[in-house]
Amino acid sequence: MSFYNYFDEAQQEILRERARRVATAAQENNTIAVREVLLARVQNERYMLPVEAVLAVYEDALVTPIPCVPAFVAGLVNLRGHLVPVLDLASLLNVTRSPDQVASTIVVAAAHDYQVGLLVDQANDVQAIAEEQILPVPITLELGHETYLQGVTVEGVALLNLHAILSDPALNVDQQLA
Amino acid sequence: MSRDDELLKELLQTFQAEAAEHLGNMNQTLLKLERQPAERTRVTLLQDAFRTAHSLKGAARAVGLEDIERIAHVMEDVLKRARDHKLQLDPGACDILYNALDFIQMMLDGKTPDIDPICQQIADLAAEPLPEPEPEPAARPAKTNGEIKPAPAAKAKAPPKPAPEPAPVQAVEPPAPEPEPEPVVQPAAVAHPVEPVHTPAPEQNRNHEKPQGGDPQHPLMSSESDETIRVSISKLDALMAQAGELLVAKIGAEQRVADMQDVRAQLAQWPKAWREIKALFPRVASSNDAGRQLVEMLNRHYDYLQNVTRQISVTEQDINRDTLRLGMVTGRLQDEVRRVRMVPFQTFESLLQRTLRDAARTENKQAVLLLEGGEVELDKKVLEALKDPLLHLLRNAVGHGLEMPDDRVKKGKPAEGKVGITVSQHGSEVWIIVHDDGHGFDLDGLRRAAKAAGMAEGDTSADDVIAYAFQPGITTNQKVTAISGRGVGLDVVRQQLENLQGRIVVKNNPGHGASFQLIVPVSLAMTRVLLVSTGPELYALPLASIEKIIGIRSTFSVEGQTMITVDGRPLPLISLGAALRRPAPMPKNPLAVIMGIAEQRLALLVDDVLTEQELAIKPLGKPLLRVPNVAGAAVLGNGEPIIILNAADLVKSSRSARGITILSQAEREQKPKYWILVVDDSITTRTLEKNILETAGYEVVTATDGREAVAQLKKNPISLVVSDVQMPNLDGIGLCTEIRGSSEYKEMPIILVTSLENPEDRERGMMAGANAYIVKRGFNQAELLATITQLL
Repeated sequence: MSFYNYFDEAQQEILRERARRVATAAQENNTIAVREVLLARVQNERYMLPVEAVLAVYEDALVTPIPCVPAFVAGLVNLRGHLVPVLDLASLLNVTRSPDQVASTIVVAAAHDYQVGLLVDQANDVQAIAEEQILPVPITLELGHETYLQGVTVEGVALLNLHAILSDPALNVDQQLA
Repeated sequence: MSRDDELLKELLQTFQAEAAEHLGNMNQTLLKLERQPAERTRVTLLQDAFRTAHSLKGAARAVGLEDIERIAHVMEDVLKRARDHKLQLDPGACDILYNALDFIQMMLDGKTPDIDPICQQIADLAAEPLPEPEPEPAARPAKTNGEIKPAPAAKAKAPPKPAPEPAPVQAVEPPAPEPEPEPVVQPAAVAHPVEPVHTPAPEQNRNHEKPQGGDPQHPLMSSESDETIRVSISKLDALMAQAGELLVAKIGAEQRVADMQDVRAQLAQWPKAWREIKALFPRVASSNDAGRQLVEMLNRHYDYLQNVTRQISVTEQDINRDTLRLGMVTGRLQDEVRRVRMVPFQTFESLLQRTLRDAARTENKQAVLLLEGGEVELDKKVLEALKDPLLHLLRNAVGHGLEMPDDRVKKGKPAEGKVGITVSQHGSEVWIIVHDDGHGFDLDGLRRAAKAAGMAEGDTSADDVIAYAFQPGITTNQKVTAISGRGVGLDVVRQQLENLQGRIVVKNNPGHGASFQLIVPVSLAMTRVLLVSTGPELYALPLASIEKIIGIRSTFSVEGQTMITVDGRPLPLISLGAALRRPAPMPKNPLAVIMGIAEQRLALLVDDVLTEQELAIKPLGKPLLRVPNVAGAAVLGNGEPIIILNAADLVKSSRSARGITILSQAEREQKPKYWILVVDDSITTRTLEKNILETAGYEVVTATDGREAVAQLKKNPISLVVSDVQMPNLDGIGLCTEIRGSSEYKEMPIILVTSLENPEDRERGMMAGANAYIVKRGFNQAELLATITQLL
């Protein structure tokens, strides 16, 4: 199902118009490469997620917690009858969570052979960003997860490498009791 | 694929099915023949067998499977001779015939073993001259040892080809097509390599190849029925999945009915409010024109709302009716689909009989299998999963349980041992009891084995000893025989039971036998669970692992662990919230859910027990491969996900008396490591104290008495000693004295923990130099830990 189906008519029109505008600009310049990203907010930080890796966005989701899991597992959510595990993006990116800011938006992303939900505070804007606006990640950013980032804009909005995040073997939870 | 190829493929599939049936029949018939039936029955059976071999031969020829045809052909000859009284079918001959059937099975599975040796063997059998009035036993044993000797009587034969000897003892292995090899050790798989040295080359092929063809059924497991069609399991799985989904949908629809009732209830509030407004009408209407218009509008409004209310009522009734009907249909569909996958237990019977027979033969014992309740039906998947544990238990019964025939007779028992399997259904559970009339568990042997493995010291009750049999590596066999003794079996049995969310209960009757009761859910797809709450959260516990639910009247503390008494026995009481590390305030009227896995029991403290439900359990899904304490998840009627807990894990957590395991690396590395020496001759106390201390972040070394303690002191950098007083060899007081007397350890903090309460003992302890004296009766974790912190 196309990503656009999750927005209503009016919103779709806006998104399409934007895309058209950027495409036109590209045609005029003949050289601008562009990518479409979903803007998401995790606590107070803004991130961009490549649209092609995103399957859906659900707001006001109720996540059922799972016991005995690492901190980055937020829980389970029922999406149209399917149980989808939800990971806390803040935890994955080492963003401290303040107790009064509750996240309830789920971005469903596709890992190689399964679907997983990423818990964020907000995700409701799609933009087209010119490739040249995405700069390489400065070395001074001490995130410990440099591979998770594909680039940063001048304003400090990082483009996440969803593929890298979701194929990180550290995500696999395979624990047994002694 | 060309038309011809397609046709051939279809034919082969049909042949597979037919051949499987023939093999099954043959196995059955041979088993019956071995029981030495009356003459008339014998002839009928032999005729059956002959006809089956004949059909098989014809069918094989039709699809061009020459090897199978060849074996069937020689078998035909043998059977004909037997039928015409020209041949005795003694156990040795039967071994060869069974072997032949196994070869055919291998070929059905797609392997291509060398069949020359077996054909030769059978041919030799067929070519045997008429037996003398007293059949020469010499001729037979020679065969059973795998050597192919020419018959002692005149008839000269060409010397048999020097082929690897497929010893008839090979027949011990049930030739089940191995499914994808699992990394976990399976008793069947492990027992085989220990088989007698003579392994025919073909055997080596069998281990890791997938069986070919449609339904990989073992021939001994085909169901006996007239009008049937074979359906692949995957199709049935799909059907079951849909039926399960339908159930979820039905539950959802029922929820809508409830929602509708809510809406109507809300609307019912409205007439009252309206009456109040209506009361104002006259005043408003008479006042002015606008007022009258208003009243008119309001009246229309009233009519409109009346309509809506009526419509909602009607719709609610409709929804109710539809949902009821949906419920009925879904229920029936569920039952039917479940029944489709249900097979009667006796589908196994031949396999079980065969295994018992082969096991008895290997051990030179006599045994007969008595099956009761074979008509009880189980889900095919559950049955499949029970195959290995059952076979293992059967072999155990013969290997460990039954005595040699002579010994039995001396004890006044019949020479032939009875191994019984009784199957019965109890609600959503099936009980399969494997029992024998042998000599029961070898308690002494087990104690010795456990000691040798370093697991047991000091006092061990009969139950404890039996529990050891379920630990890996324990065996009472001095040597490894073909069928038992590798110490791998019973723990795997328990694991397999746990995988089915089932449990095993053991009863020992010393001198008269033992029984193993396997309890499994009737069907896997939908599991009956109990919904419980802890704090604000709901969890589901699989019903098959729950024994009962009781209110908690009083608890007591034993060496730091809260316990309650159930059925006159003490059980550890663990709060579910604590076990799951979820925040949960102490409930006002908590309940205890008594759970049991194998022989381990646990009392689980919950806030409330809500209801029983049937849920379709699904795995959590990647990347959550295995989460401790969690078996899976499901969707409740209201759409909320619910976590189903893993009973085995919960029981494990309680056994270690922690309830909370898994310290992260970081947590463990933060604390400065103090080493504490725990000395006590009771394994329970030692384990308890060890766990309390380890959870608190200490490194623990243990010793069983004062002597050992001194040795441990020398080997490890001990900072503190916690010791019992009453111990063999060197007691706590003595240990104290020695420690204080030595030059290097005299400053060592020592805590004496004891059940002795009188002041004299306390004084003796103090005189010997102990720093602290804690009495077990009033013992709790906090006191011990606090004392340790003080002293360190």
